[in-house]
Amino acid sequence: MKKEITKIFAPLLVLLIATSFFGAFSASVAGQTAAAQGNVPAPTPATGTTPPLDPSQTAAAQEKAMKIIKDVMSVDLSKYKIELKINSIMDGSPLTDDNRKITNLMYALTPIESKDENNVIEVYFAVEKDVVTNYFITPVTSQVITTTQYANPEEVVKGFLEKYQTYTTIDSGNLIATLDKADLSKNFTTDKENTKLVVSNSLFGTNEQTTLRWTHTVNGADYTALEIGVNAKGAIISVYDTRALYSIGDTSINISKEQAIDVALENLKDYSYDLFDGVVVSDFKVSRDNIVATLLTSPVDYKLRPYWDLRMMLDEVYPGGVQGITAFIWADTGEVISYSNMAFGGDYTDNTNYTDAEATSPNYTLTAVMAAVIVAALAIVTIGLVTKRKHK
Amino acid sequence: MKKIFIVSMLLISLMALSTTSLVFGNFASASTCAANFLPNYVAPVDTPNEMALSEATADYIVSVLNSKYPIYNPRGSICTDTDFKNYLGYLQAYDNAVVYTKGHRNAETCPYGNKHIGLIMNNGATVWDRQIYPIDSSKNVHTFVWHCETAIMPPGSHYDTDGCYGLPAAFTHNLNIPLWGSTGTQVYLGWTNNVPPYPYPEQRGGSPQYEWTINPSYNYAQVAAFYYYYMGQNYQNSAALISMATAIYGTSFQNTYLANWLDVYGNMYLTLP
Repeated sequence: MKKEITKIFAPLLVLLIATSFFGAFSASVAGQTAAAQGNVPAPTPATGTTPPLDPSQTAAAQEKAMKIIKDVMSVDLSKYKIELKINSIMDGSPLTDDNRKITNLMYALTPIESKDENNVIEVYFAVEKDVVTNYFITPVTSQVITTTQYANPEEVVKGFLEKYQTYTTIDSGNLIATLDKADLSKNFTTDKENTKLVVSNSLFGTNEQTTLRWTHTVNGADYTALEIGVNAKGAIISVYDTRALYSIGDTSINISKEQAIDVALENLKDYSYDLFDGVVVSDFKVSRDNIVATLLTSPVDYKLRPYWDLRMMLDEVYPGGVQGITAFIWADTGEVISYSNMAFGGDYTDNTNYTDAEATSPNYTLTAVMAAVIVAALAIVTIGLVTKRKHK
Repeated sequence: MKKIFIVSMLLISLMALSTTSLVFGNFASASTCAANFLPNYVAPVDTPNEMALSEATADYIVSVLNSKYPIYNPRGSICTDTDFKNYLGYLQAYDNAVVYTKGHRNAETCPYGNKHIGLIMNNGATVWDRQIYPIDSSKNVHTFVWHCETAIMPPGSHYDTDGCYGLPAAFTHNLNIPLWGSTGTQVYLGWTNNVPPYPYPEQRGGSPQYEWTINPSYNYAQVAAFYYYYMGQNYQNSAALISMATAIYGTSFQNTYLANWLDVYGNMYLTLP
């Protein structure tokens, strides 16, 4: 009886001892990276997050967002539990002194009939100056269950524009007109009066997406825009709309592209930048052929104004990894907005003096030690059992 | 009989000891620590303006991360290769690690034909991918490496006799981490060579310096800042990128130059822990 019990318990005992040893060993190794080196500095303690915003402070934005969920996205409300998960206000853009105030909301749409967390669809909203400028859903491959169905992506887009027109009260007749005989599987540009539509098929990461961008175009410059994204399932997953956010100022283009290049090159003579050691870098050489000039618009106090975006590529890489100089010039007055360096962080070519790997993986060391201990434990058990049998 | 009793007691004691860690272990709330690295290896590559922007951006990112987690914030002379590796190691004492680093890269091709990327530290020394891999683990749940070519990782095993190659694999300790994936517990952001298409004087690639302006209102420092603002608001990674793109560029992420230049490995739908 004694021998039988010993036979049963002895291997278990050895295994338990071994297991306990692994536990103690692995715990010490896990902390080894920090503790074994001694004098591990303490990190700066967390300062604590700001208290969550009272939802009542964003009530107006929430009302607009919910209206979109119901009336534009046509979410089948009987299929989802809808919860407000993010509610915040960005008061001024980070690292700028601008006065943008953006309310950010996120609603989680949890399917009532599924408890799988992976089926939750998140809808993000940005509200600026009482206008919903942007909303989108993630995952980007999602398809929300809606109360309306369409035969193909073209119908989806037309249906969206009609509903969205009702919501925004902005006439979308021109936008809808640009979709006549449109094949959204192809990239194309078309226009109708002052409305330009650019359809582009691209990837968000590895996910196919069709983007339709309508812009109000005057004198070759794109002003306010409505942009929507349609995923491979034919679902509208993003909307970006500045038509009610920005007004359009003076659309005169008094400076031609060539004149803008002249202004940029002339002012480049006075442009310089310092290096860390006090050396001033100037006298940049640019070939006129290596200047890319594009007419764009930029908001100034929420009023769009045309400007020339010039990328002047230099004849060589200048100190600081500077390959080119940007110049922004107002297209109505010719006034210079700013210059900046086009520089990249990687200023090193491949190192030909290859050095051998120095590091040995501590994880591999741990694995090797653990394997050795297991083998040793098994050997002890086997030897013990064999010895006992021989003694019999 | 006495022996049986002793053995039984020993077994019971061992079992009790084994379960102690399960009972008293802090499994309810995972601990997280963050690190912001700014090696400031400036000579000869950073202008004073770039350095000032780098400090300001680091301050902002630290403020966002430090509101949630304890943080290591090594900059300048205390961000040598040894420091960098030590701090990466210190983070492994926590359940989750969050890392941001901004600076320059080094590159070399090993005898096995694979390209290794390393990060240049304040003392000019390089911390290579193969050196980072053994220090890091799956605990690195959110990593953004704003150095050149840090998202370049050709398909393959990402491990040869020399060690790990490719920083996404090295930082996440996941040799098969997918590009723009939708599963897993880790996300890694870095830069490829797919730079905006201009006639550069030399074939160069990688991360933009912060001082490069995108339009009259914003530069690349604000790309980093907006991204971290949204991540700080508990946005999913992809949502933070989309929101940053519309706020700065006025269009969707995939319509900006960032698409295919700023790449995401791992689960793009993760939030900060």
